[in-house]
Amino acid sequence: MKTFNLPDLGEGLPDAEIVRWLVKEGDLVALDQPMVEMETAKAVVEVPSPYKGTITKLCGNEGDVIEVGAVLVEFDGDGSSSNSPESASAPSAVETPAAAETKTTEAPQPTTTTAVATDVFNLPDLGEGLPDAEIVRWLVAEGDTLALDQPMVEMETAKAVVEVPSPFAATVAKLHGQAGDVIEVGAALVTFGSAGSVAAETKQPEPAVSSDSDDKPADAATVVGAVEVGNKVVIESASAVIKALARKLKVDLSQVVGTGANGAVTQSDIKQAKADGKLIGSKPQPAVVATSSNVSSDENPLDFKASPAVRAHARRLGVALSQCSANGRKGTITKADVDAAASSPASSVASAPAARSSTAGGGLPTVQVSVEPQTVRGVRRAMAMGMAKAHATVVPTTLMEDADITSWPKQDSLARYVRALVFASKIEPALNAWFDGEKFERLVHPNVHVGIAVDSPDGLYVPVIHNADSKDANQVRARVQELREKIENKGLKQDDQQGGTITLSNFGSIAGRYGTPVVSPPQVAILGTGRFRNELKLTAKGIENRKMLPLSLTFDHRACTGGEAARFLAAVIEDLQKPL
Amino acid sequence: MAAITLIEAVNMAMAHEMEHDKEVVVFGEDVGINGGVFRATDGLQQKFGEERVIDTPLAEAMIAGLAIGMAAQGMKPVAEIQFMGFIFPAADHIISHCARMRNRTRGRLTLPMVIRAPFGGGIHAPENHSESTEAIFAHIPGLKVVIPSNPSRAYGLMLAAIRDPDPVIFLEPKRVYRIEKHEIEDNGEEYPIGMCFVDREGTDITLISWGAMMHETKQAAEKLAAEGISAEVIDVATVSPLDIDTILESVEKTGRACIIQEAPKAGAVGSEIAAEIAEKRVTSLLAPIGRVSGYDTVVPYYRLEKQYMPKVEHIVEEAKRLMEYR
Amino acid sequence: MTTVARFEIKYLQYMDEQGTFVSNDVPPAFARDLDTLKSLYRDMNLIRVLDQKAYALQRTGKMGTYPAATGQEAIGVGFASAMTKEDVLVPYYRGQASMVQHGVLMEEVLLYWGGYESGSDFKHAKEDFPIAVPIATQSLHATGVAKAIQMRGEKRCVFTEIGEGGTSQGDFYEALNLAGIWNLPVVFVINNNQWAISVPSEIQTNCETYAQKAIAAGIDCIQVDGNDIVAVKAASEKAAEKARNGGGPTLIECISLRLCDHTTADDATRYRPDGELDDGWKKEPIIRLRKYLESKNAWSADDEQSMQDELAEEVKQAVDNYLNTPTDPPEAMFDYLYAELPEKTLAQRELAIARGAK
Repeated sequence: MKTFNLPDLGEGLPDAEIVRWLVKEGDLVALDQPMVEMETAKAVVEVPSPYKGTITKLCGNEGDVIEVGAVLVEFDGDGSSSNSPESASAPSAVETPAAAETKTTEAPQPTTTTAVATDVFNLPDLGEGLPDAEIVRWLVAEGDTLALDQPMVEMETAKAVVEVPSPFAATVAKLHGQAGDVIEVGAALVTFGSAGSVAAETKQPEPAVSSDSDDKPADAATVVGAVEVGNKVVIESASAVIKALARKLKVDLSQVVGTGANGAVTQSDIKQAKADGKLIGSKPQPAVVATSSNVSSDENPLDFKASPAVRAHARRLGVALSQCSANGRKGTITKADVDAAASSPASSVASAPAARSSTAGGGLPTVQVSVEPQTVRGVRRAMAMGMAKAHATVVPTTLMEDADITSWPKQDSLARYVRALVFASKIEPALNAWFDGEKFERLVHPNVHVGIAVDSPDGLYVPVIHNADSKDANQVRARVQELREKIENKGLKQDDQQGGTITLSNFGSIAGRYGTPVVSPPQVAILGTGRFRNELKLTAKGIENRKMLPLSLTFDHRACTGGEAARFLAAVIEDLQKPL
Repeated sequence: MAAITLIEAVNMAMAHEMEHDKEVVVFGEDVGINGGVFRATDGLQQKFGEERVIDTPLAEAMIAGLAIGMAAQGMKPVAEIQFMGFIFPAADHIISHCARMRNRTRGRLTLPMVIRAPFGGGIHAPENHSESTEAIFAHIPGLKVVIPSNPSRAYGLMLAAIRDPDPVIFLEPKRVYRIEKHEIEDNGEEYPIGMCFVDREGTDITLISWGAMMHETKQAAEKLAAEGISAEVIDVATVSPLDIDTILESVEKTGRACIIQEAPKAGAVGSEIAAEIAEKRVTSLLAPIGRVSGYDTVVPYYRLEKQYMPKVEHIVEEAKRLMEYR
Repeated sequence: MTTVARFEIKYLQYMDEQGTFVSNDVPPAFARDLDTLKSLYRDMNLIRVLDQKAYALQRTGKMGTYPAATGQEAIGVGFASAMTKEDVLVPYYRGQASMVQHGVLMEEVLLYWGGYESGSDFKHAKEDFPIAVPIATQSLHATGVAKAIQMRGEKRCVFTEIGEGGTSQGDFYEALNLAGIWNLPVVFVINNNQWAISVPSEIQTNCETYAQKAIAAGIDCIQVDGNDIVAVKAASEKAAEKARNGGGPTLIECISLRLCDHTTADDATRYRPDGELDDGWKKEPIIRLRKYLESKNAWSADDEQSMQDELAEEVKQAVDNYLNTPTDPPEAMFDYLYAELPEKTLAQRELAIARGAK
């Protein structure tokens, strides 16, 4: 009689609970037939039978916790164990008193030595990387009982004839193949167990036997190891080699006429083309346009040169590379270019190649100071570059005049300034425009998008009040408030800074009467409002104290005439001087 | 035309050159009557005689030194080092003499020789049999280091190696010696040494590999294609001198590069390729350069070998990681 | 127990330090030809003058490290004088005596040690190997050359030289072993000058002779008095003749003494025992041959003076040629790397040119 003790079903689990019995006492079970579902701390697992035989006792009910090592199932004494190496390491059979009892009460079984468990011995890799071997001679017959390591068969490889010993002490049920047959490694060679049980129970694949003795086994020999063998036949396309050879010889493939089958280009064709001087560069090449299936936006990122870090920076700021100028080496977009695009309302139309950065130079003069110079970054750097660009391209002219705002009620002056710009733009649209000095293109805008210069510790921001011409004072104020908050919270988006058509600089809120504000291309005008003051003026009523607002209008004289600018300024003043 | 394996292609190329050039001789340990432990020289001694297919004593330094002497006399020795793990006694000759002879004699003595060695892991071999140490020789100016990835390339590149006027270290990825067959016509047509082969064209990412790993790399490209990622696959084939232009051209097109090698990661051929890309095309990169490689460990004994080897899914995983960058 | 093999090592010396023929062996034919002996005398002196001049060049900053062969002139001159023009020399680093004897120009020796690759581009000795600096590798290269000669059925042979320290290297034994198995036409010459830099023979080997290392490889060997050029040349001629006619390899151990430092960068007084040099200068090869020639009334003080004047002039010519050789342009680094420079390296070549132009 045999017992099966609960093995460790996981890794270091102490016990398991019986979930469900799949067999009952008295059942004849096959090797590996599931007997019971056990639940461990990790999983529910099926426990198969380690033997073929009749179950005499199930040791436990569903819900019982069985300790590892305790008896789980008892088998009838005629249940022969498999002779597999696995069984040797399985929990050893323990004769319990109960089993001894069973033994005495049962009729003696036929004393057969037949191993009924069907162990199939598959041809191993004979240690030299051979894919198969040929049976030379069987040394045993079906039905023979073999000792462990008893020679069974002579197998021939291309290198040697070797004897294959029996891996078990067991009875031979079946010999797979005859002398002269070639057996593939891994295919069945010998089945052990009772002859009768084989037909019913063998589940092993049929041996791949080739009886064609002319079919010599491929010799994959090596003194060590095992080389994977495949019989897949691959047809290699010649094109990779042809292209490589063409590159090596610097031959222009587009000029080569193939003389091979179906007009294929051969190595000789390439060599001939080299001799004929059909070299790369000898004919203009069609531009190769790369396409990428994984670029979500319209632009192909590979059309722009930028380091991965710069690309990531642009993504973070929401700047399209197409809107950045390329001031780096060899037309590369730099981080500063991205920053400039992010802070410049003009970035969306920066189609013209930007002027070279004016920041190149010899650095600061050496002086004795107690602090180190700091690299100018971000918004401040963008300002530096933007101003330099303006200085390098714009032809600025500034007109100055005062507006009499004595009649103003107490109100938010910024909204009035915006209104005045909108008003003036209707009267004289030439200053609400964009100008491209390289292409000599001028775009007069039908709508007014007013950029507001905002001073911040980070540097100069110029957020935009879009469509100021269709906003009332409250809406303008709301927008200005929104922009201020965004600047404070560093939440200003690229959209907030793009598309300005004219700019307002209210430096007078701090100090300054007149100034020469800088036009930011492609815009053509900027209005500066100075600090208002009370002034004694000679009027029809005599000397009066009037409240005067100084105005400074800078325009790009490439794009506007002096007359247009003066008319514009007059219109600004006209609007500002209205009481409401 | 016959369908043959990589190792049979090596054999066919050597036989072809021996047939057509009497200066070609083959020697090494067990290459004669035994036909080589992997059968690379099978049948050559029967065909060309013991004078030209020679079993040497068991001494790798001797094999390399002998080849140098013969090559300096204008012969074309094809010497076998049985496993690359045993090449190190010969390294003194390969590095100190082979690589330098033309240079130091101003072209008076040249060495048109080939040193063949099976290399790489994956065949359940004992210790010192599974390393991929191609970088050691790729580092040495004056040598050419060629690694075929399939039977056609083994045939074409071996012919080119034997005919090359300079020494060629010809490393055969033994794991794929017999994994597939190619229909090859024994027409003596060589493949260019010093050039990469673009095995698959793609637009999203460039997968760069050589030797046995090309098989995993190509499978990875298939899997990526099924997920809508178009991978270009480059077989470096000559790891030194490197055809970097082909790689750079591809990376410029795809914006992404992933290098796959069996060797440990550090100081390897893949490191050089990555450095070249970083040096020359960083502004074309959409993503960092990726590398899938063996670990920087001693190649484990075969129980852990499978854990060591880069696999198809690792390549796919890395490629997808790189695709997350835009 | 029975003896399964028995070996003995022969020692050959014809002329002792007094210039007297002492051997019971019949001297070789060339030893009776005074013109031949005078010529050998001159060749040995040439090497000594060259070495002295090379030292002076190094000491005046006009050349790099140089290994003189003072006291060992009979070895290189002796064995190389047994070579035909068609034989191939595979030298070691202290090989100037055999190299010059076999057709390498003295200025080429100077160029080599002066840092010029072109010093190994021999004008006349077209097949000879350049100096092998890694110790003992040359022994194996010699077997390769010998194998090529053997396969082509040519009637010529290879000579390769090595220091006694170099025989400790595996390469040396591997070469002997192969030459023995394959019966290669190669002659191995050991310059046993008793010092491997600072390591004396007692701690280099436990063998009684270096010659007996050939026994393990199953090849013929002989030990000769390396200060007796008659013995060196005679043994070498015999070995060469045997090799050219299919008789296989020979190992010749030539015992001498390094009468100079290892190289110009060495100071032998740190390790050389007192008195060794005094003894050595009594046994050195040039003086004994002069004594013999004088004893035959074949050499006079006037002959000596005019010879020395000629040698000084010859060496001066070589030195002038050396000193007048311009340094190669930077691109020379690249021009012999491969038959065809790889595309990748072309850019570096351009860079080197550009940097060199600055």
